[in-house]
Amino acid sequence: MVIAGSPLVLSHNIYSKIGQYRQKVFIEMLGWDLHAHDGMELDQFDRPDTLYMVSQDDNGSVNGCARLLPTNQPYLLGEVFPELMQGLPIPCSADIWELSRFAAVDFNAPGGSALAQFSSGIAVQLLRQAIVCAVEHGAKRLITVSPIGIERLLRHTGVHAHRAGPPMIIDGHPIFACWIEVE
Amino acid sequence: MVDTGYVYLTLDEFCAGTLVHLMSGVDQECHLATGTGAMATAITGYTEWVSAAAPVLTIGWDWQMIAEENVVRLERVGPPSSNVMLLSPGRRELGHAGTVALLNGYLDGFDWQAATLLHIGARQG
Repeated sequence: MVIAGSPLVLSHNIYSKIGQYRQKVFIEMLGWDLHAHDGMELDQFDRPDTLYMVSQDDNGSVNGCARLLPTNQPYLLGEVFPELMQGLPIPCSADIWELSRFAAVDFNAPGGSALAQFSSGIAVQLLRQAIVCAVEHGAKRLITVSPIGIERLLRHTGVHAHRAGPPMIIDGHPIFACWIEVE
Repeated sequence: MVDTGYVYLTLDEFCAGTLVHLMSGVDQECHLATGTGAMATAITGYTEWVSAAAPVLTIGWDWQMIAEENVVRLERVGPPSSNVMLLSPGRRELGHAGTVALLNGYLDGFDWQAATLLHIGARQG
């Protein structure tokens, strides 16, 4: 089951679960150099107007998440990783939204891993619903900052996507910016 | 004009440029191949290339390492990902599928394996 909404809509319990899940995936599993407070990975882009997608299993355990931000407000690519655009204009528009902190690791399933997550059914469902949610909020295109492994998911789901620039090694991890067309 | 993020050029213009190796890596999970008697192991990974000149073209694809009778070779798996939109000689967009088809053909004749093996060998130490 996938739930979508801002922190004002999501219950405090769900919001806390998202932060805890992100800590497990991005800090503990992937080793990203991110900050955590009280066992939750949250940053300056986790604001009251931020939209979240959260997938839960039948027991209520989080097995996927994603974050959506309009690019006419501060967002990850524009503020932290503008170099991924290779000098091209940084998107700034109410109809271009950023997808970030995408993860679909099921910690209760055997064989869950950083790469395998991008070919899971959870990932496909989460990506599709994130696109739908973004469109419902006015998005005509999405841009994402992600590990390059997400291209496998994009191909698998048949989403029309292409690179905004070449990948760069940041904190030891190859990441890149990618356009996702939602037409 | 909408900035699509693509770099537009014809196949001839693409072929006239030089691609240089950017990075390659081995996937964290390496699966033993099953059901193929001739294949000992199948390690997978990615390789990334960029154009030597601006505007920067980026193109990357997945590969599978195949070991047969003490010979190791890399084989491309799946289509490439890029920021390239190829144009017809009349400079009409060929679309995503048309571009990928032509890039597939280009990569089939492009010697990427040696640089990739060298890079992942150096990284694996």
